[in-house]
Amino acid sequence: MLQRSSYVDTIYVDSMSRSSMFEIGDVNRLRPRMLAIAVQEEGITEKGEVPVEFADFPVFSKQPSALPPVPPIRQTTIHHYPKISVGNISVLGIAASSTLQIGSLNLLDAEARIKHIRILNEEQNSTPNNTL
Amino acid sequence: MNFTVHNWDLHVGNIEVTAVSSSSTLLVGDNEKINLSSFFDTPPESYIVGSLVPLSRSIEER
Repeated sequence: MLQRSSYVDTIYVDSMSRSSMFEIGDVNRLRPRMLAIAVQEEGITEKGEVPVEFADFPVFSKQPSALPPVPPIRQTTIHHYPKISVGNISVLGIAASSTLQIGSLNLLDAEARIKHIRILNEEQNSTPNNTL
Repeated sequence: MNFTVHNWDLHVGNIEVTAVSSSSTLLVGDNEKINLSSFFDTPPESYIVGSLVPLSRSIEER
């Protein structure tokens, strides 16, 4: 398949983090992965260590449910004009296994897994509580 | 099944995005196949809606 070329006048990206990608050019295969444990502790004043491992939580090992089978499709793409043009792109943030790409991309397979933990002092008149 | 795509002129003026997050994509170009997955495990406390800001003034301020 003959690929088209992408033309962008200006791009503004403020910030990027955590397995994110900003790519100018063609890519065959992209497979970003991000695992995160986000801990929020009530009333904490400085950064502390929380003894947790990715293996402690099933969200990091669960397999995604399989997609339904695709019927056999023979696709023909005809490019009548060899350009994709965009004026301005403005993005505030790119995060967590995300991509901003100018150019063609054959296969993209991205995954993000996030476990939130809230450590609360008290919850609705009950004793101190750790909500793992 | 036969599937034919005709790509004619494509011109876009401006794209303004706040955030591209949790295995998502903003792509200017052609693509064959995309597979995006995202897993979240968040405790139910996150969804209790309450006022985080005291809405009434304290007695001393009056």
